[in-house]
Amino acid sequence: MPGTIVDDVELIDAGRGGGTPPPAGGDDDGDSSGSRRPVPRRAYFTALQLGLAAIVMFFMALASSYIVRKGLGVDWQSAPLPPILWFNTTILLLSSATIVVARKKLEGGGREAFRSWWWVTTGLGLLFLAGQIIAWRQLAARGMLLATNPSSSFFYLLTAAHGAHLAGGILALFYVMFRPWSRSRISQSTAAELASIYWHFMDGLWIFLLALLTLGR
Amino acid sequence: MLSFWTTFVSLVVMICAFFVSGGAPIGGWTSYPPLSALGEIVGPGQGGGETLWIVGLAIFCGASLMGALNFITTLIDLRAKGMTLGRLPLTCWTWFVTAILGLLAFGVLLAACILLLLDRIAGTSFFIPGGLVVTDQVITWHKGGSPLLWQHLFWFFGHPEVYIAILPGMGVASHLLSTFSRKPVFGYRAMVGAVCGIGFLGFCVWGHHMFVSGMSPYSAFAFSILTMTIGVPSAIKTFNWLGTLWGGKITFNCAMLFALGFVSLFVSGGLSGLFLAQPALDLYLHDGYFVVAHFHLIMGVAAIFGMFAGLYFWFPKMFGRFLNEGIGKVHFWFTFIGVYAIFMPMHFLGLAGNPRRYSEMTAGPFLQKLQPVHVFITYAAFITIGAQLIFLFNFLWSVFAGKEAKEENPWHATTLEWSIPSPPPFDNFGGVEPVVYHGPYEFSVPGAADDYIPQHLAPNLVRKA
Repeated sequence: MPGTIVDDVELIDAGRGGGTPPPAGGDDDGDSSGSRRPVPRRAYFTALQLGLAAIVMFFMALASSYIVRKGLGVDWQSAPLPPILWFNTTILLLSSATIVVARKKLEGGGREAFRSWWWVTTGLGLLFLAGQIIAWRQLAARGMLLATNPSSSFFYLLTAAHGAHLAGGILALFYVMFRPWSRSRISQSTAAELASIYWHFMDGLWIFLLALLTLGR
Repeated sequence: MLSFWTTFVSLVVMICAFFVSGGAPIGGWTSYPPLSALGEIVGPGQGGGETLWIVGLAIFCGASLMGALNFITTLIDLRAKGMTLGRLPLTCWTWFVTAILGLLAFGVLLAACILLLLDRIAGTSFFIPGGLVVTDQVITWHKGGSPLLWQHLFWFFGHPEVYIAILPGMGVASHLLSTFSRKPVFGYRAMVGAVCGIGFLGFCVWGHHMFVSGMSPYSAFAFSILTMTIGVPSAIKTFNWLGTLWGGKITFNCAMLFALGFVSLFVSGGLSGLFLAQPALDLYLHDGYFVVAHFHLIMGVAAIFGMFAGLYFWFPKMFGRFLNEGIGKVHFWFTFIGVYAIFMPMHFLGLAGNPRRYSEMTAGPFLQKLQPVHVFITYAAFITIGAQLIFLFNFLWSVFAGKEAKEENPWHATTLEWSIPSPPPFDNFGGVEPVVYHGPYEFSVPGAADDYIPQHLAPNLVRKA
């Protein structure tokens, strides 16, 4: 047919996002046909930020519902916040600090120190969740259950939603610790950075929710 | 792939609603409480059926979020070398904005679904007000909630959702109109701006689904004005489609016919939206057949035409064979005339006051007078659906025995997918990264020997006239 040319596509070394060649048999892409272009490092950060944007929308919907439902004024009885929440908050803030320390150790080459501080962070995260469950128990002991009144409903809902996302973050912390990073497209340091961004975000989200529950009473 | 299979799981969960006792829910796709929140006592299917619907929907929210993450990250960070944003085909631009809409809207729907599920199974009262009486039973275990809260949450998702439904079709239309007119898209940058504008404004207009909910007329006014402003980028796109066609060397194959049909249906359906955007008119037209006509034409049918256009266009790439053009043209004409026959009369039904969502339309003299219109519509629907069987036959037959597409690029299109074999290898490009040198719609370029320049063709290989 007239007018077509056999295309001479040059083989291009994409070379974006770090000069390391792609590892043989990429283990997390399920593709066995030849080497694939390395995914640029910043793509992981883009994806994380997008995920955080989606999570923000989810919690904004819940927060708006909280404000609207409270404003209906009919049967709102502010649930007293169990004091353990403040302890839990401190734990979570501490864990944000320890995750920063852990990453600094990793960057400085101190792998053992990194692991220790990473475990501390994980432990603090688990402690936070335990504390939240205790807070639930305390509230339930005073007769405030999920359906007791809208204020208690929102308390359980918001803390459970945050807790679920934080649990996901804890899974990410385990993943950073246990995944064989030498055979991956990104380094453990990058993964730690991604996990810590998510972790700080969970921290900030908790502060926001706590403010909503406290100031909105 | 996770997104795809999670979507499949959500579909399975939803289909299960047909098989539980009580059957599928009657709450509709909008699942308004209190009907959707009170459980079995309000009607058939509102027990397990409704719960499965909501759970299926919540799973779908997760799947959509994953898909959106994938698309947006790919479009921002994983473009081929030389593929600047200004060289993206409009199909990619529309999917980009669609994914952004999905990313931001589905989170809100998920929150709403969770609140509704809690109302149903945990006894909370987010959406259920007090004092309800259902078939002589007073509901005392719920009070204080607001059904309007659900409406706000749902429609905040629901309006971006309809733009999610239509934007990809717009991208396909732009793409195909250009390819089969052998002309660049008229006003590419305006098209991109319009797509972004539609996406952004789509988040600002949800209240136009709630004009009859008792909202403040001032809010209604604001939503009305904002809704009408979406007409501006939509009109820009429509005129640019016409501008793309103007003076072009047009090939009327099936893909092109469906793309043209898309433009026609988009205009027909979109215009009635402007009527519905007036609160004063919507007070009368809401929940009537005028609305049904509007959204079917613009979303149900135009979007479907976009899909058909895409199927006819990319079928040779997917399967290495063509869909049969003759049968395809029969499919097109029956469908095109058929959908107009179905949905145009509905405007008149709506103006006459015919309500929607009734199970039968024979009660009362004013509805009985409209029966002949319903009969006509029903016949048209039977014929139109029958025409889809023609397409199904064409599809299945052509996969195995259709005319072979011997070249990689039978349409002489410009975009990257036409540089790879048909069907493509699993990773599309066979390990070889394409490099992009040109814009996406380099058709009939002065000085070039061919009437198209593929995006990936190195400049030194472009034949001069």
